[in-house]
Amino acid sequence: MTGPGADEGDQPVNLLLRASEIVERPVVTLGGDDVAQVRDVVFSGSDGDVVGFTLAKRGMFGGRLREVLPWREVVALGPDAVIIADQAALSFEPLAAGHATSEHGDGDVLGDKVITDGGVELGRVVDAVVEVSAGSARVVGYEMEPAPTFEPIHGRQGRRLFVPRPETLAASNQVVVVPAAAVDYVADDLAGFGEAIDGFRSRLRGEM
Amino acid sequence: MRFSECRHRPVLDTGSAAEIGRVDGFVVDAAMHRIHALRIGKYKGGSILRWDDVQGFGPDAVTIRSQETVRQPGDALDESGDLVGQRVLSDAGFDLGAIDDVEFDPDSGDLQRLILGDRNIDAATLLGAGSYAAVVRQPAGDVASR
Repeated sequence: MTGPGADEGDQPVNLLLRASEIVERPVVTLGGDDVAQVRDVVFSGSDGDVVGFTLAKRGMFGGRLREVLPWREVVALGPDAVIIADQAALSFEPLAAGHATSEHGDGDVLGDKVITDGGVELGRVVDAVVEVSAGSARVVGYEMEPAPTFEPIHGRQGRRLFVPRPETLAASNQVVVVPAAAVDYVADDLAGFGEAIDGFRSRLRGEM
Repeated sequence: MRFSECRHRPVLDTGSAAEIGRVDGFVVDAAMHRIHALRIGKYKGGSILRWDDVQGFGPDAVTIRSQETVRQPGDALDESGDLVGQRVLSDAGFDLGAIDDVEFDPDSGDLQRLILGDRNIDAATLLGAGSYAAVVRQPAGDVASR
């Protein structure tokens, strides 16, 4: 990542985070208090938008909190913390129904099969990739354990791969269906994945 | 002037010309970017000297008009932790490191700069400080990217 000291004048580049990197991150107020930690990332199955977070008490064995954090109350989602204005951001209203990114949640995507609309199984989901931009966060792809029959990158068999998600997707609880073109945009590291997502989406929009 | 230069500076009661204790630390009002009080060590009468009760913050002594102004902690800020050593988070959710030292104006008590290793952060960007971190506005030029 381009952290502190990045060249001024750089175009702001969106941040890609694994959902598993967000889980257990502290939820911190602008006053500097850690009021909770992320238990799970909840996102819409159709457009991938993050709708909010379920929460746990701080600490390694922190129990689940009844409060949730709706996305509209999030000041910023960074690699090291989720920032909120104050404790009042936490809500007892349940989040809009969505998929979860860890085994804690109902309808989680972990273990789901990734299959192309041509009927080829690419692998199984092991993590979700969240793109954070000003004001929004959405799941733009999945990290997957490739199927034994799928080897898009020579000599990299068995290595985990990133597959982009189309902007809209038919949602089910066990299967993620991606357009066959997704195969051309599979990446083997997160750094190269941002570009792959942009290319993939341009192509789906008929721009390439 | 830096916090580290002022530790152990004697606190002198100018009424009695008695040294009543030494500066042990700083209590900061992070949201106001200023010193709220000095923590005083080795004085039985109390441990808190409010900045507004400081007569002069000199190079050799901190002077007060009366030792009565050194009191027990009286508000939530008085009980707050030390800014030095605290983690700094930006309001974009980036961990910027830990505070090594703080530069301040000895005339006004205003904080000027947070020192994090070889990096300085303008204290005016400080939004608050709590149980987990001091929070600052995301420094300009830092791009949320990887």
